[in-house]
Amino acid sequence: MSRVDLVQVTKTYPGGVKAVDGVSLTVEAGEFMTLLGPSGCGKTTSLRMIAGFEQPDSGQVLIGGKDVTRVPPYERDTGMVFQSLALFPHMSVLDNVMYGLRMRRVPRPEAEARAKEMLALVQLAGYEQRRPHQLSGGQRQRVAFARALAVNPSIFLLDEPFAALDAKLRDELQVELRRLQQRLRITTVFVTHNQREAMTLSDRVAVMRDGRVEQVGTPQEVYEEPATVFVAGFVGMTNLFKGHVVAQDGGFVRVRTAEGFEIAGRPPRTNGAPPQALAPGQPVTVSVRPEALRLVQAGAAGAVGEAGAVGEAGTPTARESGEAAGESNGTGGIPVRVDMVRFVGELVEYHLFTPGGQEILCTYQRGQAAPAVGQGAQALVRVEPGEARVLWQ
Amino acid sequence: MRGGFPAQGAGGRLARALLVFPVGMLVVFFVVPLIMMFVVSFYRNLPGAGWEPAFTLENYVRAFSRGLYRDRLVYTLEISALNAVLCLLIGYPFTYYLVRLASPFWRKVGLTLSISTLWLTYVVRSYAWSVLLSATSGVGQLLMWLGLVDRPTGYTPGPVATVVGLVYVFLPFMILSLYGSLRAIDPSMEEASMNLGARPWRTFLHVVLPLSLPGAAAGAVMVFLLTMGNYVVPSILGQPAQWTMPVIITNQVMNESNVPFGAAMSVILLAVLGLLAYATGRLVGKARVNPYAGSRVAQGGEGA
Amino acid sequence: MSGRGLRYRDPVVWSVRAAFWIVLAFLGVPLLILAAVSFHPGRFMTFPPQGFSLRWYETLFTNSQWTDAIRNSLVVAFASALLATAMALILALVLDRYPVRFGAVFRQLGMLPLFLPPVIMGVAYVSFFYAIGFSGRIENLIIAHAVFNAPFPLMLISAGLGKVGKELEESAMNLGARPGVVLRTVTLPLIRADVFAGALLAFILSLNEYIVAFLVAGFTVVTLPIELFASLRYSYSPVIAAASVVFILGTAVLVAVADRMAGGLWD
Repeated sequence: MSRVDLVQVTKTYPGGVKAVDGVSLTVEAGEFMTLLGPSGCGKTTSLRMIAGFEQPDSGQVLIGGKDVTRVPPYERDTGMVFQSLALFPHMSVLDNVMYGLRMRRVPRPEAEARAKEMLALVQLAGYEQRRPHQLSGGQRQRVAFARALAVNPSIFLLDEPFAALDAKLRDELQVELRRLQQRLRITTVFVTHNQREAMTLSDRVAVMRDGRVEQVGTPQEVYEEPATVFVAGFVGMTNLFKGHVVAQDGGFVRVRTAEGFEIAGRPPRTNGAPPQALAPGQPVTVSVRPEALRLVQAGAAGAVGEAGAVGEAGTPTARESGEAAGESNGTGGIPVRVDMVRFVGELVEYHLFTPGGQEILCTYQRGQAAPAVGQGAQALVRVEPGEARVLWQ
Repeated sequence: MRGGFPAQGAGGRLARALLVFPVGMLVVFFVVPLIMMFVVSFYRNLPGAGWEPAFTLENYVRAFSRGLYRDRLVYTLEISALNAVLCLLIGYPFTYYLVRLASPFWRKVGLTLSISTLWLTYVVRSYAWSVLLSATSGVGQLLMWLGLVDRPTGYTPGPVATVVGLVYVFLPFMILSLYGSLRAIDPSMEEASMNLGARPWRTFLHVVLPLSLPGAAAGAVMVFLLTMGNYVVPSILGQPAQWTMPVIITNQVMNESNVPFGAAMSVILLAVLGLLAYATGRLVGKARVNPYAGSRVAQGGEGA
Repeated sequence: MSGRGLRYRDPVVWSVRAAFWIVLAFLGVPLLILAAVSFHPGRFMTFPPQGFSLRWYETLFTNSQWTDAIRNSLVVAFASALLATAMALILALVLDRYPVRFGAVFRQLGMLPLFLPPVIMGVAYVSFFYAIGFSGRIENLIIAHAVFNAPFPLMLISAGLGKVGKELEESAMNLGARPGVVLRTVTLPLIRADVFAGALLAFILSLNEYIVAFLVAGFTVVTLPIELFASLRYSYSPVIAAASVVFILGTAVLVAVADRMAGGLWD
């Protein structure tokens, strides 16, 4: 168990593409860190630099505080699970898991015992003599885990290992991976472009874009307090409104959007730096999560009925009556037209359009009192107080 | 280059040192002989005593001034073109039928059978036809038995035998090239075309043919170039009137011991082949990049 | 498929179907007739054969003229295949793994013999070996065939390396294997079949090659195709047919083995 440090690491590929651009990142000992970002953001290159398959042009890679920048991959003591899994097709499962131990000159009986122990840990006892192609997708995945962990590496690296699996199996293996990681308390770096995967697995997430780290934080921080417009858009769904600062009072910043509506939101994350005052007129973007928007019928104060309460429109529910009347942030609702209502299992999605043509997404949890507005209806959309976040452009 | 294999260090140096063997072989026994051939083509031939280093253009002058050699070059081009066209006409319907066989097993058997002669020496393949087309065996007997001729006639050696032999020998190359491009056409495209109301014939004309054009062109070019370089078939199945450039060249080198003249004609043949390969390569190469480009070529042809 | 019954009666389909079988016969019948002729007992070939005899096969394997040719062919094919495969393996492995200046040029150089007409290669070798005063030796032919056939193992081994992919090797390295060990434990075992298939193809091609062999050492090292060619100039003995049949069978078996090893040569 060791920590990993990337110090001002830069890697330019031939042709001038900067794959990684001055990345500094620390993964604490025993921590599960996910590098999250779209393809080409530099997350895989960063991982491969930790493993030693790529050398940075400048900067340092430290494992356990020791500079390993020039150490070849076979002397680094990392255990990696590849995207293709890279199980050796010409070896049995046992030989695959033993491979790293044999390379470390562990005597055969000992290596075999250790490999069997690892296979038992991933619930594959009895599969020792199979060939990889005789296993199911999930079983192959577990062999890859066992092989990477059999050598008891100081760092566990995973490069999108679940990309090829179907959703159900992926969920199962994610839980299994997390359990394995917590049990072994091994420092883990996980690469994915799937934000849901990143949120559910990680202690901390590093969101990357164009070779840079945009934000590092716990899944909750990254979701609730995105540092940039990119992070807000990439991690979960969000509605973004461009606009200008009107005033800052108390804990809230009032922003007038391009269409002329006013939204109040919490000021940008400062990342520990002293808060910077937002001057009126400063261009900003407001991010509002779909679940933070509430829908009320246009014209009527709090007059959207409960779902299922057909014919009872106009009967105010407890929640809506209070808020709709209050306009608590001093901002009015945004008038919208309901374009489509979709039932997505646990959610109800409302696809809305502002008069200026901006699409807005608003969701209600199943069991929440969803408003009974149909396609084509006019309505007002309001922001739950404190749920909007103002971001630098 | 693959990640992780260090470029520097002892491993990298050893690896690059090992390269000396194959690259050295290729330079010494491939590049240098070709240069040598070019050099020798300017040497003077000493009848019965090898050659004399010199710089003379007399070999080239002879090759171009004598009608005999000019005719042979033209004939070689003609018969190669004819062979390419014949192989295409025979190979296309055959391969199309083969590709559309429903059973993968029979498709595999059909392909294996039709290209099984590919690796067999030209000598045996030509010889088979010289037996088949001779007066005493095969076709000669068959025609007499059918009462079409009074006495058994042989067709070998001669023009018929040469053309039949060339088609026989190079048809597998054409089938192979067509098979690849026809196989790549998704049958659902044909179904889509028919679903949109096109009858089978129109479907073939508008969908299959344009999409298979690059493979057909590549096959034809391959057959053409291979025919131009073939020695065995015309020399076994042809009379002197069917001798192509390779036969003339080999006779000069082996029978007349006139290596400089053979080298000069080889240089000429290589230049012609290079030009043709370059020209058609540009044409076919463009069409090959994108499987849909074939249809654009066809449309462009109509429009222009 | 619902359209099948309809297509079945279509005259176009019928004629294509007929053409298919005619072409298949065109390709197969000459070799079958050759086989039939080889069993003809008389001194001159006729078809259909009158009687059945294996005497020409006996001649083929006892007459020193033919056995020498077979031996020469096997020696040249074996040695040149070995040499061609060694060249191809080193070229493919090193260029695949190490940054080599002019690497792409070297690879193209290795493939270039494939595109050169054999007659021209033959004349080039005549010029070269005569100029260095080293003509007519069996070594010349071995080298010429090795260089000329090396593109085939090179193609197959490169394709095999491509199929192995880099992640398997990286994962071996990640588990602590040094480059040499990766080569021994992962790369070579995985491309073994491609290497053998490549060697086999080089062997078959050398065995069947005529014109380069004739030009390089035609008067001193008589290979089986050269002997065949020479004898059909002067006689029409069925022994030629018998030799051809042996050739056909040998080539068919070897190609089938190579095809199996490379996992389908045509895909």
